[in-house]
Amino acid sequence: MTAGKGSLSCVGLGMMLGAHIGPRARATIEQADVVFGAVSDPLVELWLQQMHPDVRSLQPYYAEGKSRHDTYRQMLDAMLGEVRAGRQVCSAFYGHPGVFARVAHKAVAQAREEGFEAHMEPGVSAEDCLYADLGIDPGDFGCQHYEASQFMFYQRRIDPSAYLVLWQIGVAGDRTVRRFSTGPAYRRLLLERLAEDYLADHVVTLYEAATLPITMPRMERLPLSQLVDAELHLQTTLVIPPAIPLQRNEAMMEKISQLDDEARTKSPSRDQEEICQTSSVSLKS
Amino acid sequence: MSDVIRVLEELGRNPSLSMACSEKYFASVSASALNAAQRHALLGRDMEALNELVGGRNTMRCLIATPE
Repeated sequence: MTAGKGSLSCVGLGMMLGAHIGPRARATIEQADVVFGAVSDPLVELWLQQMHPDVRSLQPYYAEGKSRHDTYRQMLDAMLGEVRAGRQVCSAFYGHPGVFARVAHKAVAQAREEGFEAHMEPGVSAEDCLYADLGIDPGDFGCQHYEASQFMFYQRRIDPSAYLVLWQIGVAGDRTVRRFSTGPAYRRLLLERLAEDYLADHVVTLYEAATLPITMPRMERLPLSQLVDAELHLQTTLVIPPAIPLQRNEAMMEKISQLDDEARTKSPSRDQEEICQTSSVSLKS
Repeated sequence: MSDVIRVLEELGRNPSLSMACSEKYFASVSASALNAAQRHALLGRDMEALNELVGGRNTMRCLIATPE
């Protein structure tokens, strides 16, 4: 297929109005022929609308009882339709356009498949805000991330010595993809699974990033057992801190020690020769 | 750009203005060219009232990943 002059850019606005948007995302919005907006806060949507004269909200595609598969297909059609019409299209997503936003990935892939230029511009995601607000460094103990429903549907091996972050906890267990919340009965099933690795009184955090500069993030600590009756929203994330210390892998440590010992017995000139060879290979590859 | 959104954008750009209990926050909102109702909503950090005043949507959905 011949590429037209249409193009697609999926950009991230970041989570907070006015705070996180990068210069490349802003310029892409301002220079587009048409802008589609997928944001989660009404004031953020108004902010986006004031960056460009033709901003089209994707909110009307949602409806209670409507399959989100249909919703996302229609969003995709709306965006690609303008690209095929030869327009420079920008789709602006809250947070990062490629995190928990399959529609953006699909749109970019589809546009490229049809021969159009398409790219994604990253943004500050809820995950980024979570690390900053909760003071978590994923490098300290490791951090596992799962979408809550998928976590329930499939066999997963949890490492309780690392953080466990479950996204979309408010719709945990939803197989219909038509609801915007599930209820206590579904959360009890989730707790049943989590109880295999955590005690009921293990303190967890319900987190929601702030979307406006005059509001605070939600950082509510509670025992895991109280999750069933907690107030949960679409944007609520469950953060479970490590429950046990890091478990040392003695067998691996022994093997590494052997390698270290072998390296020490080699002559310095030999080591230097190997480093030069490795550098040469790296430069070629 | 509407005055309310302009003020919010400036607050977003400059964290020292929007910190909780900040005198700068009170001063910057009080000095803005907003009407009394808008200023009141901002100073009270009342997002629902502010949204109503500027005509934002009542219901917003965030993107929800659909697990296979």
